[in-house]
Amino acid sequence: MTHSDRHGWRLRMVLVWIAAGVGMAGCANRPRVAALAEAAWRGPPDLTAGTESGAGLSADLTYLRVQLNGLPPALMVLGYLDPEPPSTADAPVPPRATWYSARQESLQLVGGRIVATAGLPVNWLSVTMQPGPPAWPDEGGLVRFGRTIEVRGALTDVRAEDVEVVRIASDGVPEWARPTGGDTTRWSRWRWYRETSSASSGCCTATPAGWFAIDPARPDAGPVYSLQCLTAGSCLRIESWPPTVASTLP
Amino acid sequence: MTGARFRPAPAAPWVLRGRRRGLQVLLAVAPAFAAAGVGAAEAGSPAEFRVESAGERLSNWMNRQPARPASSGPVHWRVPADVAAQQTTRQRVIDALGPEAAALAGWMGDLAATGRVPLPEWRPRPLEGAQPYDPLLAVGDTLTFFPAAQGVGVVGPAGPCRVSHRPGAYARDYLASCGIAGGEVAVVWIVQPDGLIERVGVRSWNAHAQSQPQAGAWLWAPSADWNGRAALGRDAARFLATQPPPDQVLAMVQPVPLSAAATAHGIAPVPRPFTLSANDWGEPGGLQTPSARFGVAGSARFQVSRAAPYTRGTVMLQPLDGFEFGFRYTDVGNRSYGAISPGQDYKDKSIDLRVRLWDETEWRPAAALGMRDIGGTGLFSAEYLVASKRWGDWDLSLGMGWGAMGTRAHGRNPLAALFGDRFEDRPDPEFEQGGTANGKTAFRGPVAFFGGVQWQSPSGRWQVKAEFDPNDYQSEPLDNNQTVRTPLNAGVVWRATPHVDLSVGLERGNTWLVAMTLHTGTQGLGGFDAPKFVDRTALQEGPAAAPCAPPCSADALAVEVRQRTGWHVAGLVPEGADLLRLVVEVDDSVFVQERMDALWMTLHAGTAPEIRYFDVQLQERGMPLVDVRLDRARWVLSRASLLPPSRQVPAQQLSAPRLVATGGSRPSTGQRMGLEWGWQPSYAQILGGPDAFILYQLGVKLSAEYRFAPSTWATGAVNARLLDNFDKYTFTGSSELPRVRTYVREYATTRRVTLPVLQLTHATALGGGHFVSGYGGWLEPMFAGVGGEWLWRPWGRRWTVGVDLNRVRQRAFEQDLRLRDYNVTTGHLNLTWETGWQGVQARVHAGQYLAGDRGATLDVRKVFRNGTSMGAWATKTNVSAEQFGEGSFDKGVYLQVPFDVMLPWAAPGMANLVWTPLTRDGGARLWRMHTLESLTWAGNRSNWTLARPGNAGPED
Repeated sequence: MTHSDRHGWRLRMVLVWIAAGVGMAGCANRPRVAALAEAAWRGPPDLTAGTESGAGLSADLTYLRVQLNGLPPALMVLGYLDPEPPSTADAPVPPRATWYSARQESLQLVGGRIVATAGLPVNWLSVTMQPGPPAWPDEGGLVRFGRTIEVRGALTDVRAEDVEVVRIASDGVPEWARPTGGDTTRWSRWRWYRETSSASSGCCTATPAGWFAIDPARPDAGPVYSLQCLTAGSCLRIESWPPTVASTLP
Repeated sequence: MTGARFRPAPAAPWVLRGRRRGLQVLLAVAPAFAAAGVGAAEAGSPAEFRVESAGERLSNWMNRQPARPASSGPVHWRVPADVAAQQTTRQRVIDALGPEAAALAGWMGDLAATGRVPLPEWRPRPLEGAQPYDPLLAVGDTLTFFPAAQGVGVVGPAGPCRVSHRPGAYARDYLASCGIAGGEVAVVWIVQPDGLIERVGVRSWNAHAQSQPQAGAWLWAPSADWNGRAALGRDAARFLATQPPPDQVLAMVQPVPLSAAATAHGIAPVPRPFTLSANDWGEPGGLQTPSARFGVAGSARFQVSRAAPYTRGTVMLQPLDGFEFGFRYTDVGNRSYGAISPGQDYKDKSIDLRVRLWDETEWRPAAALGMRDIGGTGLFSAEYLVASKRWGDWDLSLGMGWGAMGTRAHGRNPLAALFGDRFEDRPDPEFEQGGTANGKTAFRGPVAFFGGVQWQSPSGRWQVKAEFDPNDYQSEPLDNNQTVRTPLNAGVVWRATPHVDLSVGLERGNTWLVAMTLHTGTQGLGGFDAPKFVDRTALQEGPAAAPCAPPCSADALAVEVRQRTGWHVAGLVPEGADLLRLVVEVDDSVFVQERMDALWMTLHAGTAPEIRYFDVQLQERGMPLVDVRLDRARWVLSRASLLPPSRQVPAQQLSAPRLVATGGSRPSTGQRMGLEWGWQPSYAQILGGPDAFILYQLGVKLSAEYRFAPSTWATGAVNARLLDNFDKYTFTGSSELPRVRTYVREYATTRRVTLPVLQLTHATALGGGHFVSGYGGWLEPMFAGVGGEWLWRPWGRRWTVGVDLNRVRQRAFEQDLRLRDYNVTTGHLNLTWETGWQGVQARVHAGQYLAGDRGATLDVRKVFRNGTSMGAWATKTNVSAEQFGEGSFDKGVYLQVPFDVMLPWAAPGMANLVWTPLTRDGGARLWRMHTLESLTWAGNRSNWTLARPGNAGPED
């Protein structure tokens, strides 16, 4: 949560607090009032707090820590790894990983890139990459591919865009793009990539820039962290969890 | 115009807030079923499979079908039992098309009713994690897998057409590609491949934010001449949603490329709405002039504006589509209040009204009629007729005004030619008795013309306005004429947030305008609901975790019900092996069905699986209100899978309550007896009085209730006034009637600690929808006494009848236990009627009021789906306007908002914001605390339809 987010949150909470006072009659012990006061001061609770070391997590499951905008982060669990059809690109196509939350949301990633979501306020119904998911570029390199996305929020959009992926030095990664929770310095050890999109033929709104990080200790295993936006107002922080485990996003 | 979407599917969970308990729950839902159908898939053609065994989930079926195509095209689930209803829909469309569209009707008639039931989700893996969207297949169902769609089907007035899909293109682009001329079609229904239907405007006058058709979508584009034939909109779209993708249905039709105009210049500008903004008077419009625009029903606006010498505070409420009213305080900065309060600026109160005459079409502008300052002294009274026409980001308004909007006197009043010379002149409004609705002045005198233009930036956050002002400011009230350099005004509006507008402008060529407007934006109050993040009762939490190892004890179950619903289990009786009867004491929650769903979840999680039915009687203070029966199996099926219309059977049934003894287990934790107490901040204000514009008091109120028996209770409250400016409160108005309300200053200022209420109440149900209550004590801050009420609320009816009768004596100003000498018998015959039209309710109270005057009160309100209501009342008694005093009769407006939609938890009760222009003695009713109308809220069938916006049903 950024400073401005927190400021806005508290302002909203003050207004809620005022409204709450009007509705407090009728019962003496209102634990909700205390919860409201705490929420007003601290913001929504981080339900994944304390799991950084793996405490409380099952060793049999693979987890993803996902945070939508400023909402409390959630843990999703890997359900399936399905093979993807081969592409015409040189790079091998990673399998499609399907992740599930306890609230019937799901997220599908191919090589760490979102290719479908379900159950969120805004969803990507389908993503087509041409010629296919690219390999991550070397330092100074540039990779381009085409992408068509069907986006379903309050409205439906169909985007066709040209995407460029470049490698970024870790000190060039803005603070808002870095991971939250856990060891706050881990981002500096990663290899970073920025993915920028532009609308094809000036057709439509392009997807905001995405940020991906690969652990140099396992460079072939794909990103361990990413910040990807479904739309300008709907961004997901996705991190292989717990961060202390040398796991990656399939 | 705004778009509307509907989908025959349950609401999706909307927020990502999972914990690591997920997978075990989510993946444990697909038992092994018998093998299903067979089929063959060929590239480029659909593959159809017939389901041969029942009970398998679609996701499971797809995951184990080796022959299933891996294409990303749509998947159609067809249910034979739904064919008949779809044939009926098709016939309605054909009938509505009529002979003038015989060719199109013939084409529609050739389309087969397929039995397709739209699937909101057909991707197997996501579907597996979203049970409510995952249907249970039945024998005879078919599944059709279509290849990836390439085209969009357009069904226009001349027939069907197929256009190649292009990302970023909108409905109007496909229409143009099919050669459908501008103006021929104004509204289009988009049917997306998953069956989602959206109604969109495609012309520059009705464009708004809208979806792009996906590949495989159908567009139903009826002729603009067919407007008014309802079946040609939603029904046609619904029927098209049952059809295979256009690539299949129109395979013989050569696809046309997207129009050259769209491809040559990129896609044309994104369709967007014209953003409404308020003028200085709080109405949609320019600066001083109005437009014919309205927001959505439920819109509300609060504005403060300053253009010297006037400062205005306006509240506008729009309860209905095309109807708006409001009230305003005007501070005249260079005039004194007068001898009563020489140090204060002059204040004026007024009431406004606006109504839409007709809506905009291709060639006809929208038109509205409005009246300003109709209920006060009429100092700023004006009437107007205005028309508005939009071209994309431009909106032009032209109109004609009377009164303050006619002072430039461009011409003779046209009404004089119709209704006689008395319309030639307008009497001086200062001679009007306040509150008489300016009946002798409205639409009289010369008229002036006005016009304005607004332009919005592409982002919609900025608006530039210019207008011709019809007021020459040479007939201003209070001998306060203003210098005018030019009749042209200009200004800018900045939408700082979606709900805050800031305006600045130059008026009269020499006066700056500044204004701030708080508004409900595009949603309206009826669409508001605060996120419930401090609450376990919120249903978004999903199925309840088992509160104990089922079957739970009665006590454990009662505790869980209390925590998840706020309701109390007063009795619990197992009956036979498969039925559990409960008696549940409700609170005054607005969303009864939502609480009921939480109750079902709790009972389902905490009771033995052998129990097949739950019979619940809802009571309020021991009074049976309604009996509810749940068929558990049906309920589980409806919650955990997508059901086609033909298999949807109501799981819950409501019926009139039986008068039964509670009996059975009486959970010790579920009883609502003894003492309950709480505190709350108290606030009261008096606006626009002669002592100060605002007199306020802030304090703390301690409330307590003691239940001697379920139906007998004592209520009391103590209020401590902590902060106020009542030292300025010195004026007591005069009255020619018994002073039943005009001693408000004395009641407010005499003591800091008061006893607003202390009363004993008993209420009971007599059966057949009859309820009675008796009460006595210090009933309200100004009156004490005894009374009784009878209410007849027959189950399932839209009306109630009741009578209340009270013998009361005025209380001492100290609001302690002492009384004054005045006493009176007061009571009313009370009728309520839910009209069934746009959620409008009407109430009539006829009888004797506190001052002994006799008459009736008419109260009309609009109730929105989320329980918010906007209303107004007026009371006319046998007291003359002169006796009544300023205002002539009692009246007011109010806004009621459930705490549930304002607070971050599911809270009972309703906030009641009331505005009355004046407090007078005529037409004053006793403020009774526990009316049977409110106590029997859950016994009103229509209140069960109230729901949070996210849970609202399909809309068009």
